[in-house]
Amino acid sequence: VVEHASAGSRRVLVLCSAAPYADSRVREALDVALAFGAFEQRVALLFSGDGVLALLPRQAPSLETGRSVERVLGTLPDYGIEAPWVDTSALARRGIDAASLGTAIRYADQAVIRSLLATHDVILTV
Amino acid sequence: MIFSLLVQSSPVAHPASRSAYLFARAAVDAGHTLYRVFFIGDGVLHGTALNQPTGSEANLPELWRRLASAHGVELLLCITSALRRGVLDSDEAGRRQLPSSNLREGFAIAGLGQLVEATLRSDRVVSFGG
Repeated sequence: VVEHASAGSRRVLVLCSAAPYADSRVREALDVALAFGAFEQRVALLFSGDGVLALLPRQAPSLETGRSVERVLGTLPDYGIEAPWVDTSALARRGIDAASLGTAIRYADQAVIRSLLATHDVILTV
Repeated sequence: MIFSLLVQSSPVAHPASRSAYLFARAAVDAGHTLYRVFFIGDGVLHGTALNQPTGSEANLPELWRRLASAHGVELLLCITSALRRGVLDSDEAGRRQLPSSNLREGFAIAGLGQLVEATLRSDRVVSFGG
């Protein structure tokens, strides 16, 4: 069933799998999510693949890497965006202890990811 | 059906850019409406007038311009991504006192609000190169 534009609202999932300081993709994904938030759309973020590295605490970016992704993530509540989802299998593959990421994160196993993909109207892989 | 596309890859460095164009053409050929193509990240490199493919290569930006012109499709570049990569219209170049502008005919520079709006107006948003 196709929902038509008159519905006026979309549940948007921004899926980010790029490493945070390799290029500007994570920044662009966050910009997209913040824009949907600023326009009062329901938007969720899912970090998978190398994207999970964006959620590591104590990031110490330098002049050469630019502004901290961690700080941008800290502004999500200001835009009405709930805590980002993180793919737990991507964490496990990288040897990252899920408990080390702090509290403002929601954990998504494969079943949760399937559900996120099924329940959002628009999925933007950025 | 009303489609909008999000194109994130360079016109010369990623097969997803060609896929995006082929998808767009197939959609309009099948009678669907293509409302807006939003270029972000390296995708904004479609919008520079200064890239000059050799005669034996595809010229995706020019193909997009023709498709958009024939079917009334908006081709918009994310302003933040465009400024990062040196793609500017004359207004932005003037505002920032930069020596020149280079926006390709048929393309315009816009904010991410236009991606949000396209998402609300379209039945499907298809993302390429993410």
